[in-house]
Amino acid sequence: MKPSRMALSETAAGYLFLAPFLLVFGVFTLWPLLVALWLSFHSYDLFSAPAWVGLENYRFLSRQGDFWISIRNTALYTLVVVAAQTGLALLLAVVLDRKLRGRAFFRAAFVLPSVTSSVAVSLIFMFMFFRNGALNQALAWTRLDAVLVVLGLASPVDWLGDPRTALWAIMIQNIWSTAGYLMIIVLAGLQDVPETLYEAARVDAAGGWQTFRYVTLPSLKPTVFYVVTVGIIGSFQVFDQIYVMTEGGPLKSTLTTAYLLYKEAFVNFNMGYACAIAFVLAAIIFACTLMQRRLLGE
Amino acid sequence: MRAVRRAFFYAVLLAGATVSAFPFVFSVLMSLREPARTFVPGIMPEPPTLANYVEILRSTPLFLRWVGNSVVVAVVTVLGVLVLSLMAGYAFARIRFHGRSGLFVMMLGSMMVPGQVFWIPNYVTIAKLGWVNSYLGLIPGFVGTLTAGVFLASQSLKSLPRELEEAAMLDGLSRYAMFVRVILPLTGPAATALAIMSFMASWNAFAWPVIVLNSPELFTLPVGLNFFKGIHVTQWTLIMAASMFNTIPVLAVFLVFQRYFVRGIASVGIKD
Amino acid sequence: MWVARRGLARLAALACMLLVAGCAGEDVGSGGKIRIRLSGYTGNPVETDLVSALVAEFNRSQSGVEVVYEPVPGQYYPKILTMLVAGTAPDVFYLDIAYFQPFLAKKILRPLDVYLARSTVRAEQFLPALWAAFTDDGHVYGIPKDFNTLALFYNKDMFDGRNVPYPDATWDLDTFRVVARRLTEAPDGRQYGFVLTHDDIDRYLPIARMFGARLFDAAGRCVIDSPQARQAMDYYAGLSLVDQTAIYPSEVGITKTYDVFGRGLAAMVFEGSWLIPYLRQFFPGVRYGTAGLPAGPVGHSNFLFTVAYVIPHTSRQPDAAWALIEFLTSETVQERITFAVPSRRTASERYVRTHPEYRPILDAAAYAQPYEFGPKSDRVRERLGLMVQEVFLRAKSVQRALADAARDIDQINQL
Repeated sequence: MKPSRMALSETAAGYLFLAPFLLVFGVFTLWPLLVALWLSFHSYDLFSAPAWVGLENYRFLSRQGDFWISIRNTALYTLVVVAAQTGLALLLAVVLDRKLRGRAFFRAAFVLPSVTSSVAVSLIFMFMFFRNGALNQALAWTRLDAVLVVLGLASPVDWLGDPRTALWAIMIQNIWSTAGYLMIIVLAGLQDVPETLYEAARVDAAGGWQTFRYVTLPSLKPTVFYVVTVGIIGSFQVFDQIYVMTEGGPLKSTLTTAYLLYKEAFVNFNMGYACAIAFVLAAIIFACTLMQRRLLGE
Repeated sequence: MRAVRRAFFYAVLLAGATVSAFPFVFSVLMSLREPARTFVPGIMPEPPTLANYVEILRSTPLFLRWVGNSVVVAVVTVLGVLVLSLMAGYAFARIRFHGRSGLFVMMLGSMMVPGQVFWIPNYVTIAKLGWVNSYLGLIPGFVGTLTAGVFLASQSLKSLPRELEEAAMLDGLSRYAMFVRVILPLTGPAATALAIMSFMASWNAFAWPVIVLNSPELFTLPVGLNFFKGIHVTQWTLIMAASMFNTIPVLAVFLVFQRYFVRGIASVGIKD
Repeated sequence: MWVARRGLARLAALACMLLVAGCAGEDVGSGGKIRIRLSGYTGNPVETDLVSALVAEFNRSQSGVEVVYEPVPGQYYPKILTMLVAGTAPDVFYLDIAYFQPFLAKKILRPLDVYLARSTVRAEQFLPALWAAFTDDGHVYGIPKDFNTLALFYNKDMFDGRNVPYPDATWDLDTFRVVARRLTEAPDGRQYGFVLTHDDIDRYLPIARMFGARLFDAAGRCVIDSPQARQAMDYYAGLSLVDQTAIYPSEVGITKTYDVFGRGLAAMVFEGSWLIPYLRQFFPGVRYGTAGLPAGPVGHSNFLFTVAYVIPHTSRQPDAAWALIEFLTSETVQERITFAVPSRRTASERYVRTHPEYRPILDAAAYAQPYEFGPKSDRVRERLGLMVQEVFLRAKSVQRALADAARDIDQINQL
């Protein structure tokens, strides 16, 4: 079957517009990706030639305790962070969509965390998470530290030094930094909801919650997808905060897969193995993204 | 009754905003403390001082140079991302060509592989090109942002009405002219969103520039300011002051453009 | 389609221009001089400034070699490794003792014997432990520049307040323990005798050696689960878990031992001389003294932290590189070091005379063990840190923690 002339010239036009991007993408993303894939079947310590080991890296990783610890930590982290930041983003966006006094001020306040450099944010939070830091002081002042005692933790808590709380502390920090940015994205999506639907809801005397559930949410589905997908991709690759704040400790409670990967590559000189970890992680992210699509019914 | 509910509502919102803004405010206050009083308990610096900022400017003679470098890199990056993203996004969104969906999936998939494994192959590549210790070498560090930009642009351009293009084609315009004269003017909001995203990424970029840039004269601001994070000694107040130079410009850019920003992503429509 | 072709042509031209513009010249600088590059980390602004000044002087003093100083303000070793892999590494760079064996194993370092033979630099001019640290199988691979060991820092005011005599050479671990008790107020967090680290082996391992334990035996197997090591761990962790006279920093909401000591929360700490400028800058009011670490049942022990200048095989100008190293480690230059004890014998003696608080640091160099852990240094160190943490957080018994660590370390070293 001969492709039509129209289709051919369309294809040519398409690739022409893509050309600059493809050039950069090809050289600096596709090529390293292929190299990394190739390396994942080799043992490579950076200074001698790579040695073919077939699937050994993948087999090893399935047996390595640290890898599974990191997957467990990363999965828990992703679940909590994506759920919380999506929920918060939705909530904030809906609230700040209405005509409010000082709306711009509030939007700025909530977006402030996303705009600060992540190294600075990590340092600030380290300061705040100390046993006598701002967080514990605030909890004591509002008497909320009683909740901690109920959970079996002696207040004041050493958030980053206690294996039971360290990962949660980093989760708090991450949710704080990204919820505001995602709020803006949801805000934008909200602008797209046709006013006519809201009017119809009002005519039907629907309450606030019902309006949200049956009018707003369905129209927001594509936005929520975007936010959740970006959230999953980002959370599974969390690295900066771990590197600055806890280095995988205490007792490996904050060991995430991206951090494990970095250590294997640059500290242990195990480049081939690190590449295997990278692709297993990518496969998991891909699977989660697909699952998310199915779940949210696209 | 309604007044009470409204007051309650604003109170909760204010509490939330305080929590959100507190760490940043705290770091500002920290940067105004005398170093010798870093660990004195309490929130307010007593007395407040600009000594940290003075110290940074005094002990890093290249400071203004670094600011200039960051500006140059940021402007070029933003322009590059804009041009390439809009062109590629247009192709993905509006042109039916062979291999379009496969290419799209591959592009998305590439964002799922952690970037650390790309460092060494990319560094070897730029070493062979002679781009080490030059700004061209910074390009691999921004390909991730570029890919995300293409994604965003393609979503945004999908929602433009087809009639525009059909009319233009009837008028005999080539694809190229159509892109420049018809499509581009409508991408204002999306372009602003892309510009903000890429400005943020470029201004704060650290890990890759450290690896690529050797000469202190070429450093960008985050790299240069890291001289204060020593191996044995962390000079907290200085670091907080240094981080202000990172944060304030990005915040300023964001605040100026945030009105457009909302509308920009709004045009995304995001129908997969 | 002519539009498309024009566009492509423009792209191609642009690409070519970029490639040409990007090609940088390599080894020959302005005026035909040999150009070499020096790199190091930037932990200490005073040191960075000094090295910059020295490089400028070196360049002025002769016209054959031009040195470019390129300090690394971020993660130093990942960058050095990346540069070595791609062939863009500097000609001279810093190497910590902990990385000596790993770099040696990867055959990165150039032996310096050839250059030593032709120069006036001699082993006897340097402190023997430092010279030996960078020698392997009779070949010298690095010239040490300065060093550090752990000293016992004590807060004079807190000692005076409790009428306790200051530490001296007669102190042993039992004395230390008793004094720590005397200096601890009721455990309500007001004041402790000692602040230690609970997630690294920098203090535990010297103490273990004081009990006669070793990390590796002659065959290279890890023997950190020996009875002596167990005794040492019982002692070390016992200071905190049993006596409650010692704390680790995050217990009182602080990141570093220096701050705990500086704020007067603990009366004693084992630290290197890097604490001294820190106290001067952040806690100028603290009256402190320094002494050697107390002795254990078997004698004294300490860690030797040191850094050397090395030349990689990839350097194309090793002669020029050597000239630079010779200059940087010369007697006259070492006299200008103000932030650490220099590596040359005479320079170190002079330094300690003008900075008496550094005396215990120098004395310990006679018996201190190099801070190195074999070719898999980082992994071994990390595993040992985990071991200490497991004990302090009561995740495992001392016996279990040590045995597991020994087994894992053998696996890391593949024995």
